[in-house]
Amino acid sequence: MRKTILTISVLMANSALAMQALDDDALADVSGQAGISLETVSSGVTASKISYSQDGQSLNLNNVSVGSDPRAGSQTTTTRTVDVVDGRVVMQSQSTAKKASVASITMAGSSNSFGAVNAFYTLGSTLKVKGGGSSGVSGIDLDGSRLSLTSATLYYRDNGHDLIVDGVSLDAYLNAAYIDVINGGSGSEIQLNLGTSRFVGQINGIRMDLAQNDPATAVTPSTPDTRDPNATRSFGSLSMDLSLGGSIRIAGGGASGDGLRIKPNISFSNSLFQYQDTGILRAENFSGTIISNSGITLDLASDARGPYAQLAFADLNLNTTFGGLIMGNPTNQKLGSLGLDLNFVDQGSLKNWLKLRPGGATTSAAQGVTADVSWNMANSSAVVTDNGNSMWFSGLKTNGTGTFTLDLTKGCGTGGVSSGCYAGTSGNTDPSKGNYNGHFDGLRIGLNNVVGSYSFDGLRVGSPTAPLQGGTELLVLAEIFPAYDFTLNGHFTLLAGGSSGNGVRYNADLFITDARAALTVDETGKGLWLSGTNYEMHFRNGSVDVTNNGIELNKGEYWSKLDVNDVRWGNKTTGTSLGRLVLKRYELGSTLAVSSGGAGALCVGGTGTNPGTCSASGGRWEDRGNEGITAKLKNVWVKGASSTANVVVGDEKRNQIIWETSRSGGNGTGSQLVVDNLHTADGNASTANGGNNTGGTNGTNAYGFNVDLNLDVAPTKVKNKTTGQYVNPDPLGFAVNGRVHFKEINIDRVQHVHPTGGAVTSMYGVKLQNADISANMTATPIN
Amino acid sequence: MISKLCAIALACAALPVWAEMQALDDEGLSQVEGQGGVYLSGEFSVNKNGGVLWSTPTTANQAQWTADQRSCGRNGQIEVCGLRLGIRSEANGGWFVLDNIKGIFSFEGLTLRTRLINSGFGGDGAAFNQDVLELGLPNEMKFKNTTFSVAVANQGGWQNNKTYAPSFQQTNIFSGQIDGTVRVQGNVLIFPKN
Repeated sequence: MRKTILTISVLMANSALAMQALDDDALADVSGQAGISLETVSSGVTASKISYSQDGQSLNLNNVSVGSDPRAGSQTTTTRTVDVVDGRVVMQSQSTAKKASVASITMAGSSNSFGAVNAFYTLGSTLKVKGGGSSGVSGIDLDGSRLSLTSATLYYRDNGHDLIVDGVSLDAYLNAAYIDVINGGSGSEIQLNLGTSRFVGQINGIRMDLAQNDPATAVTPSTPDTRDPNATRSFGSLSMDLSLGGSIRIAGGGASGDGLRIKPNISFSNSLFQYQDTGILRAENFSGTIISNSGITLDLASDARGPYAQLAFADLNLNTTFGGLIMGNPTNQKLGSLGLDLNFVDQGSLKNWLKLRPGGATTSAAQGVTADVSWNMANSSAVVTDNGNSMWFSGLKTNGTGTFTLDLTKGCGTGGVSSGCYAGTSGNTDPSKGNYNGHFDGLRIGLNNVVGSYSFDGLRVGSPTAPLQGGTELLVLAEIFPAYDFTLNGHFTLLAGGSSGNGVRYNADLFITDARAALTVDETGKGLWLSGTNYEMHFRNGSVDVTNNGIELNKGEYWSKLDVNDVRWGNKTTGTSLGRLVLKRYELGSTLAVSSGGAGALCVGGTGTNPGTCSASGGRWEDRGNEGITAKLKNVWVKGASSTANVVVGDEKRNQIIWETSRSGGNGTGSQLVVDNLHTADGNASTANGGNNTGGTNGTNAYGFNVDLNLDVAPTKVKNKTTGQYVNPDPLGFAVNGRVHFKEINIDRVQHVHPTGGAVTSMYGVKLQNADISANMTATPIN
Repeated sequence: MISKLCAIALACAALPVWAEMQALDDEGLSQVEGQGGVYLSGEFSVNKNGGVLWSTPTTANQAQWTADQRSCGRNGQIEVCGLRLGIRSEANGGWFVLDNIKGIFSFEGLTLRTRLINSGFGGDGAAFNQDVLELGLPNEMKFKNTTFSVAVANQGGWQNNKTYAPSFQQTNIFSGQIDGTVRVQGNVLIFPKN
């Protein structure tokens, strides 16, 4: 066994632990009983520093204190009983409410901090112990033991702002659980055999308090800081009930040198997971395994950027099935089930590790968390089962590296309190502009040079060994691509509370560069590619809610610019190019809603609403069951400023498409076709040309450009093109029922730009009205 | 993430690109088996139950329609309306209009895949040596209640000139309707020419 050196230096600054005498009455009660009852009263424990040191590096918890919850008095009372029942030592412990705090978490060699933690909680436990582990010879038998954490509230503080986890409770029931010391691959290991244990957990809410530091009145869960008007809003609540089995092994020795190695081989079955907003996300039958044969290592190390704590794993398999998935209203149709088989594995230079460094983004003081991440997932798959029919997204793989930062931040001039805010650098302080580099209110996830890719081989329908087929092309309308290479920078900033009630609000600026996305691709990598793509996206005041209608994403104010250097056929880097494509979008109030339930029963090729009328109209009636997925996208394209015939407008916020060919010296040197100022409208028929979308009789712009998608796995008719005969029985396919509908789309101008002659206008207006277009298609392998 | 607009733009952009019909022989078909392409069956319909801008009135009397009502039936019949496309090719000019576009197109066996052409074509394939996007056409395509009208108008948006917009003028030049089955065999090969 490799030696792990664990050094904890504790300075007991103020400790008080008092024995309390039993009075005569209590003594009388004790007399004649078989066990021992012990009540201790403590005024708390403090330590100026607790350090974990390894390989010359140290992780420090500074100014640690554990004492009584001030709401329960100045002293903690803990009652313990020790008894022997049926050959087991039974130790019960129950304490009064406590408060624990860590003023800062740091690493030696860095002046930065991971932040501070405060916790209010009540602990109880019943340990039932007897000799004999899983073999019954040596080790410890913990069968029937229970640990209980109740009434807990956790505060994570970064730069004076708080992330608050409310109403936490956790009950762990250890059934048929054992602790053994066994021989592992690198020496002796401690093994916790989970037997048939159960973990029941609840989080009532996750909130944020962005008022800097503490108010005059001490903050407790009963007396919250009310200075931030958003402090009561929550991301939502979580609950879980897990039935666990398998084992966890703990060994000494990290990825290199000293450290810690944890080898999970955990199974969970018949479990429940639920997120609740107004509606719910629930997996009613959640099962699977988490296995790492080589183990997850924990090391402390240092490089040119400073010290870090590293989690690494050479292999990790997550195999889960979310059965009985529900989105929205529990009485609604169900989605079916979702299975994931994810294999993280080191392959050559492609590694899996996470390096945590103290301190977040450079613009967010010296507190927060920075994570350098490397991931490699190979040969994985996802399977969707709909009314008993399954479809595999096969050969899923992804890898990449990048740096993520995590901070609690405050924007200046965004309402409420502003102390501790960051306005951005000079010239970039306007949040309504794309070059704004200040902060927004909330939990900021910074993305720095995240270079990655993902792809999957294709779909397999019916069985995991069915022939590979296409069909992912049908998901392009939902912006899901079969392959994507990218470099990502920017941020997401999340704020608790949705468009109403609980949920998530967000602001984001994302910059994707050097990207290649496939619109269609085969197993050899040939397809239709968007190569050399730069894509910047800006979101303001967006929100995500789970309602009784499903998951609802509101993009708020959104503008973007997609610049595809080459649209290529065949190979993604060497295929022949169609030219350059630029797409600018400016949207207000665009939404995406995802809910359970697919297309149901429908008429293909006819117009009937039941099998009889459908058949009579020449159609084919298809019943795709009550499970599946429905997605509704609504894009509201905003009208930009008017343009003139011989000038191409270059506004940041505008809907515009540019196709450029025959470039002689880079972008902008070729011939261009420009579709300018494309926008939706509600088509007010009482006003000439629908008005100018300024409201009232001038017309509005709320209906937008809509795409409704019903996704199912269902059988369909397939005719062999050689024999002309139908395949029998009807093969399963990936069924997409798509509907595009809009009231009015306008294009102000279509222009042609000559590299030397300049712009001219060929169309002075295009107007499309009253569209309701359906495409009902089922994708199967080529026959 | 690329937008849906992009996909539409690509589909439109592909149309004027060089394309050629070519039938797959038996050998070619056997090579298709098991590849990562896709076989699509289903329907494509435009306004088969009407559109979302105009509702269908209960009377053929245009003077009694509300602002958001329109019927596109002929000879006094009440009928849902199709998609309307108006294009203005001249500053301050009139509008060319394709009106009442609607219908159902159903098919079985539209295939989509990428394909390398480096042989065949009377020897031209070897010189071509390039990937193409291959649309394998279904053997037959059914058209049902497919209609359109070609017109000119003095504004892009339709309005009821019996009530809300007396000045609105539209003249239908001709209308067409297609019902039945069209045989469409072979492939459409699409590739870029920058």
